Amino acid sequence: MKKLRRTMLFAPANNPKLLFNTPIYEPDCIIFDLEDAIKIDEKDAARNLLAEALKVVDYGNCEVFARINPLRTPTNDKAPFGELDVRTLVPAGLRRMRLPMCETVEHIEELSILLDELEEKHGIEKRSVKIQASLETVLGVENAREIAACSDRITSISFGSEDYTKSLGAVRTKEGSEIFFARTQIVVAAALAGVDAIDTVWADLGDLEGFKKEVRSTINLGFVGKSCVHPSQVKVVHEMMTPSMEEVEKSLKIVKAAKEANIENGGVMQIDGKMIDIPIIAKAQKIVSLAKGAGLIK
Amino acid sequence: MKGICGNEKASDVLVSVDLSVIGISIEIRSKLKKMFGYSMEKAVRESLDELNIENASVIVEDFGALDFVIKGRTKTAIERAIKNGGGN
Repeated sequence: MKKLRRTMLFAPANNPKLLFNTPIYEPDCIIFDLEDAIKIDEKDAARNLLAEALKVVDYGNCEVFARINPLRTPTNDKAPFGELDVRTLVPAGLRRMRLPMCETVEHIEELSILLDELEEKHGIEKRSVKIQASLETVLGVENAREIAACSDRITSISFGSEDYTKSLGAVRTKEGSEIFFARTQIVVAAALAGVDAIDTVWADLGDLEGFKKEVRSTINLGFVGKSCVHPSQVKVVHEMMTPSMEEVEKSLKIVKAAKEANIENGGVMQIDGKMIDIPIIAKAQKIVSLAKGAGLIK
Repeated sequence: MKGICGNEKASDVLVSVDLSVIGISIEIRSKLKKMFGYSMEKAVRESLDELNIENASVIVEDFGALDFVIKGRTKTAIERAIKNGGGN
């Protein structure tokens, strides 16, 4: 069954309470932040605290990520914290990480080589540590296709709109026309590579209607999930991204009929007077998979 | 020689480490010392052992921290003390 990543809830890694409380909000994924949410002189404390948490806290069904610090500076020099984050957290149990400011295939290759070394050294299953590449610059978005497809460690790519609009010289608006190209580029790249696309955050916590409108566009564009900055956003996204039982039952009927008629790979049939072909069967299969992942059906 | 890590906030702990001493001493300051003092001290000792520290004075001011928080803060305080010129 495919792992759901409808919500990725950020939590600063230097807050002890959030390290054990965040699962109660039941996000599909928790992303403990070592990057922007942590002051420079607290990077060491956050890293060590998260490492100790990973050794003992049971996060249940939540998929745990860390947003590590970048491995490279904007001028491509070695950055001070990223490698230390990886060297500390992987032996402690981290198996998923978001690499911020990812711009080129070389960034992924550099991280992957480091992970090869750590997997070997600590007896961790080879290639089991996975990467989510965060594309948040013009160059990163431009290289989305290559990055998404460059490694079996990539399970998803995510979009960061604030840094992207900064690097583009655009104004970030709620309406979002300035990020439409980047969002579609990322969704297309992810679909081609067979990985998940995760949409950017919505920072205005007071504007629930604006948030819902954005989540609707997240779904319509083809993203499978959204980064969330507050627990209140998790429920909204789950409600909007989880199919209704009516949709699920209809999809189950289509999937079952297609299997019985042996047209899953080609051909057409009729159900309740409507023509059913491969794209409709594929959409029905996706809804069934989503319903299973969300626990609506077994 | 000295390193500090943590916060005076609920669920956190403030750990001070001095590496310029001989032997190990651990002082626990906590409202819950009677109930959890032993496990708090154990968390500190495990952190010292993992980093091969044989000489340290450690003061733990607890604000309701779980053991993993004590370990994370203690390790960082030790690393900061080493960075500040302390050695073992």
